[in-house]
Amino acid sequence: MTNKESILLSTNGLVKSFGGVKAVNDISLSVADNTIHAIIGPNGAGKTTLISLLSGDLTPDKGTISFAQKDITKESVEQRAKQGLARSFQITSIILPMTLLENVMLSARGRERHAYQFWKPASQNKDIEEQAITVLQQVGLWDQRYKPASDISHGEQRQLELAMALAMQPRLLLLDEPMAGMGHAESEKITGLLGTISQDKAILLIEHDMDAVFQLADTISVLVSGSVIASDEPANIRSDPQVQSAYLGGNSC
Amino acid sequence: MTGSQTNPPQEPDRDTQGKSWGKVSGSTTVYLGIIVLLGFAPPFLSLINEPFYLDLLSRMLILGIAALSLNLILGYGGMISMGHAAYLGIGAYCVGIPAYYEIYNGFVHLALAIVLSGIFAFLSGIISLRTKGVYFIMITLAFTQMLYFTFVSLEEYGGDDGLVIELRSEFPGLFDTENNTNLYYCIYLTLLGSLLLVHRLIQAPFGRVIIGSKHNEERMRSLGYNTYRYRLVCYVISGILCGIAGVFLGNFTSFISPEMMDWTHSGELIFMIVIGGVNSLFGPLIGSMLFIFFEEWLSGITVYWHFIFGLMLIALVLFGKGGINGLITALFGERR
Repeated sequence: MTNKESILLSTNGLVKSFGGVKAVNDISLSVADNTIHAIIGPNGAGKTTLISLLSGDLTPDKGTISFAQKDITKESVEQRAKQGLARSFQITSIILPMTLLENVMLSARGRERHAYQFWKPASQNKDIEEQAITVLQQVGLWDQRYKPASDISHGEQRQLELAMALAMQPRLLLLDEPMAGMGHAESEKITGLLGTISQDKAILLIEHDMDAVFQLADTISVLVSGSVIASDEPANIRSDPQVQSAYLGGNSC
Repeated sequence: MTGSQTNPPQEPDRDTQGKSWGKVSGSTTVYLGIIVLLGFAPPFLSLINEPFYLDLLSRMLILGIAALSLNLILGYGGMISMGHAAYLGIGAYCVGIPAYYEIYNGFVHLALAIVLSGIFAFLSGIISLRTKGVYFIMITLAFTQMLYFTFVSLEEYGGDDGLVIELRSEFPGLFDTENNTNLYYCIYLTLLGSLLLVHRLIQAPFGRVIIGSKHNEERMRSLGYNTYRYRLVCYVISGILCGIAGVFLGNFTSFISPEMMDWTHSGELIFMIVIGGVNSLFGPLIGSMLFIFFEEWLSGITVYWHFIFGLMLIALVLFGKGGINGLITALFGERR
């Protein structure tokens, strides 16, 4: 499928249990540069747990994670973020009292070595502001950039959520249901945007919108009860009888 | 990246974004007016021959600086410290103990206060900032109580009874703090500097990180910010600023005792912030002025003034969201 050099992220035997339940059970997968690897599976399959393990919000009980040929299993969330691993959250996680522009500028600045700047107003950094504005234009929130994040619709907050991950200019995007809660038009727009972004970035995508998944993904892994039951190209996944019975169940929603 | 350029990058109204330095809103005008009036207070009070009120104002401004420093972590950073009186005590003892050994140089006092407040904030912050919510409140309280009992046990410096400071801090060649008006202006200028400092801090990238961490720490970490370290730095800055207020408190009262670090004083600083308005730059100052005014006024009426004061506080919390700042903003316009 992809040669070894271009593999950006790989996991080996990841296990995470909550109480007696193995939310993630022995997962080994990889994401190559400039590709989209989609994870699908029913609710409770462990998809968000997997993302949290990769982002560092959770630590695995067993197994290793390597990113850009380096073991990052023990590194913190912020260390991983600095190396180019950006996550978006399934439950919108934005700074509500700040404006959209401030939110995105905050994430554009996160990539810098530090923000121990005590005197010059944050809003006067033209370079960061331009980066933020570019991203806001991409997701279609540019004209609302001076509104507080609490004042925009739920769908728009989802777009902001994505914008904050994009503004980090990461090497790998971990997207946890980016389209959930968006209207049809926005979903299509974001699907197009993700396609464009994946030309020079790797994306690990969790999404319930099967149209988007089959349109975008280079590889699809199917997660059921914490285990990967199939991992292949979209066409093969669609025709896999095991997947159909476990998840796709005839209708594609 | 091929971002679709749907909108021409024109500049819409910028007022909403809070970077309009030229345009000052109504409530800011009110606050600046109060600040200017405070600058003219000493000549006015000597004109009407009421020097006592200068003492009252001095105390208001000293505790205003302390409340401002607490608001930096409490209001903007969401770190509710119940131990901030410790820094008032440290600052005051940094005047009192050197004075005991006849070292009256104010620069020495200030330098000591800055260094020791910073160290105490750093060491207590390392531990307490690992906790959240009610645990943070309790652990900051515990650190202050430790300091309190340490000073109670220091018999050499008066223990429980404290120590009288014979002479105030001396700033040779600059001004004579034995003159109350000079001391007042010294406090006043420090207050102006502190207000400017906090204003710049919260607008700067550092402040944005602090505010962001209050509202959504998980997200801030996933953006690459080590929120713990940023908070620690903020905590140390806040402690140092309060320590400086303590230097003035020691000079003002010419007396130090462990009682200055009593936990009730930490609580009073929180009251002041709540009265004035959490999350506002001028709120803590207004809160400290009102607090001391009511304390003075009500305690003259009845010894049970705490009861009346408590009722007023309850009413304010229930009906006046945002404290006095909320009221002034509603009356005179948004301050952003």
